[in-house]
Amino acid sequence: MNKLFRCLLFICCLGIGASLQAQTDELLWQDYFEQWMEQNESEEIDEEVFEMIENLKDNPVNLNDTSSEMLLPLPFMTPFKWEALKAYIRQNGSLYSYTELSLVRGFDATTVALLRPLTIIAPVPAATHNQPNLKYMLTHGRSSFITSSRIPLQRAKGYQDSSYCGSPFGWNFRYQYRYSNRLIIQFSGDKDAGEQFFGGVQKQGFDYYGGYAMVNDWGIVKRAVVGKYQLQFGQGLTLWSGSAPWQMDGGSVWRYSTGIHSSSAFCEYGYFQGAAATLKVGKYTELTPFFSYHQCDATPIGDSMVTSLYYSGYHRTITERNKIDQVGERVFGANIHYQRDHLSMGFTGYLTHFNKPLQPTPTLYNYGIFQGQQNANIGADISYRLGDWILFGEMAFSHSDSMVADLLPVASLVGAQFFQGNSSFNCYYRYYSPTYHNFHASPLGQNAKCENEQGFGMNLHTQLPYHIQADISSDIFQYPWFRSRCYGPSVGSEYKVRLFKEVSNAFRVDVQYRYKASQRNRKEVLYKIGDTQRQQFQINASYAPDPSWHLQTRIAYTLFNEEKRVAEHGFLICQDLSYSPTSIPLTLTARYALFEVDDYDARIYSYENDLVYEFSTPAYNGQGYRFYLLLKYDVTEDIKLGFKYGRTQYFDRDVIGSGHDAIQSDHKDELKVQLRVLF
Amino acid sequence: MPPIGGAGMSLGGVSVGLSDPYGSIHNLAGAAFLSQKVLGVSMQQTYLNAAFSYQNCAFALPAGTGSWTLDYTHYGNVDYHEQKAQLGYSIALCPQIALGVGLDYLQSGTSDPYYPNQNLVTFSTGIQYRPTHKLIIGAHVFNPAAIAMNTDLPTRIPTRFNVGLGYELCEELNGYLEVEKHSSYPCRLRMGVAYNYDEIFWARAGFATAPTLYSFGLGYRLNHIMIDLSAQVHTLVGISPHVSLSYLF
Repeated sequence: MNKLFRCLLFICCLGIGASLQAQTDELLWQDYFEQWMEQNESEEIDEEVFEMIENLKDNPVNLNDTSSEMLLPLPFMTPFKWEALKAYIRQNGSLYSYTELSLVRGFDATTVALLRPLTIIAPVPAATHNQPNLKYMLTHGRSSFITSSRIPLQRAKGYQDSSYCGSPFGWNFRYQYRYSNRLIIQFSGDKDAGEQFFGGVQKQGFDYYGGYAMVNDWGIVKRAVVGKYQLQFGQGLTLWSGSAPWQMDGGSVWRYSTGIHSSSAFCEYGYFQGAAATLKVGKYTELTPFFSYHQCDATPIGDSMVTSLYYSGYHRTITERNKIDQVGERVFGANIHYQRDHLSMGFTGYLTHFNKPLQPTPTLYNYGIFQGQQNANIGADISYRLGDWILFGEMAFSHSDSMVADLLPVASLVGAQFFQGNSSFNCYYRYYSPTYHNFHASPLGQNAKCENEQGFGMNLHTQLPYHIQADISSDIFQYPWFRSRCYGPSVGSEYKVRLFKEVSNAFRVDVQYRYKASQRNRKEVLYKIGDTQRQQFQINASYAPDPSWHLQTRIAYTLFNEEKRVAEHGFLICQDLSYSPTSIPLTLTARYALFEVDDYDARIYSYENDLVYEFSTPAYNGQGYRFYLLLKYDVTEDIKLGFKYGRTQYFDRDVIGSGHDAIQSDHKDELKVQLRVLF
Repeated sequence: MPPIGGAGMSLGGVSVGLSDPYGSIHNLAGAAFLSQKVLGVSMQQTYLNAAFSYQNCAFALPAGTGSWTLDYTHYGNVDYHEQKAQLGYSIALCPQIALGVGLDYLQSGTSDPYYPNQNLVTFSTGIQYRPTHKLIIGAHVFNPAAIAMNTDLPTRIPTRFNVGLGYELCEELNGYLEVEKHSSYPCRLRMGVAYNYDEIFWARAGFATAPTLYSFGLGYRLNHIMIDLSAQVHTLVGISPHVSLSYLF
């Protein structure tokens, strides 16, 4: 395509592009975060995912000059789209604008809108043969410092009766030095509400400190890290720590493994701490040895044993503080990865050793659970690109002191993925044995753990008539053994349909229906499981006529049924308004939501805009309203302030929460403040 | 629910997606798009019972990029009555979006001296946007802060949140759909269809759920005067006739 035509296209599309920019980029991410929460039935979004997105927003990659490692981890990117982009740039030269991406195969409007906040389009810098030395990188980079505080305006019971040893304020900070993506040094600290600060057991100040130094593309070292890090190989069955990309509607089921990557600044568990490096040992081969040792929180039995690892990171009460650093975890191993043309293969093996034995309390669903001090994991993964198809699979084994003879401790996954134009199709089968043990896996499936699950899933993304895009997914699964709240083998299924249409460049409507059937213990009959069904319907309309104004209207309804119980309903009606004047570096966002939810099973999740590196994902339960006001102001280009005030008012209760978190009030207010400095 | 003009009442009670002058006043945000002053009055005798009757008077004054509105509603009779007076202002944020805020004074009283009059000040807000020339989407919240009366037993005034749309199906036909969530009642669905002949004569019908209501009505424009007659029918309790008159100048 000649340059004149592309320039004309750029000029003609400028007006459209401005509106497209005003399109709900932030809202699309909001939508995908809510999908994640719904899928994982969690109120806590993975900090790793969020921090990855925020890091990319702060340090956007140049689409004309980037490697696949920067974009492929994003859940909506696929190898097909990446190769189509590279082929387009090879054929036509560098991109001029985002509107040009619509000419690239597989880049629909949603993909472009999701990419926009994380990328830039700029000329490729002149190539240089001289690699900057360490001294240059240490003196020519850029630093950022960010600190946030969370201030609750009502006192919970834990502060009144001194069960919580510290103050009710939460506070964290993060310092990062970065030279492009070649050198990154980060140091952070976090104090949760209720934890002590420069007193008691926290004489060093914050409850948590973390940091790392990472270098990329240094001779034969593709990446090396000292400090806190994460490892992601294969499809997540053998070794995948930190965040797992969620199974997004219309996205890729096949995962692009990044190998070593940074850990979230404030994640207090589930990370590695030590050293790791990815070395280029041949034209097509990479070797990643790694070592980690750190103290983990656990529930102790005397001085010589622990029952379970403790994953919340809270150290507010005496009981929680008694779990601090109870067991040392040592991990060492390696991954070897071969990639040539369309073939990718990997082999991973590592040993996890605890300095005290884990002795979980025996329960019905603990049969085959890990016991002891040592666990070995070994696995192999493969993927092959065949035309418009990707075929992939992984198989992993574990060996520990507590192996059960009659069940092979194996986890396996096979799948296929097809992309053509704006349509995609995925299907996959997984089997995770109840006796497969792994402390650092993030599998594809219904459970967060890679155990006790078997299932077959499919999803389809396509374009229907009248420019309506459709995402249809299904998953049929079973749990061969008992699990928490279900004392028997059980089955389930999940179906989801999502239709969305861009009525204009500024106006978008989407409708979703989700159905999930599963089984769990019945409340009125001991040791008997019953069927449950949860249905959710949601409609969103979002409108952004110009870069200053943005509105979203949402209605959501859930229905939960369980055997021998009255059906539970949940309803949410919500209006968002965002204003960013072009003349002042200020953004104001407000929401008002009215909700009525009968019970926790019918809860409705709703992602909220928040300060940078902060997130809020309340699950609406009960009856009341939620209001928040978010203000972000750039004092200068390098100094940025943020404030958020939120209030949840309940109509159906005088006490909010329970236990130490109980608040003797019918409303809950919270204030968040943030300062960001770039220098 | 207070009356919102004959047009809205005959469409199942929709309000936020309306664009007629009298309905726009009650929408709050919609008043920003008015280009003429509007004075309207309406009366409704709910279930043909004077004790449940409504009377309303509303005025809108366009001023610059916005409009001032004044609205007064009386309900009931001497034995029990409620009054609501609202001063509102709505502004067009851009050609397609309008925002309105209203200050509401509420008063209730009885003929029994044992029960003193109750007074309360609250507020309401609304937003309306027009993504296409055929579509109007609106949202309106009454008493969003759920303010309570300061009595021996504090009574929270209900919060009501309406979200809806109006769509021009063709030149003569408009459709309306609205969801209402009241803090004390289940979710309610309202919908209606309006046919107009040359912007002079209207025929409307609609229904609402929880409770189920059917509605119908006629409208006529005579130069600057709009007359709307409507009725809502409850399957058990009966019919509620409504008449409204608005003058544009």
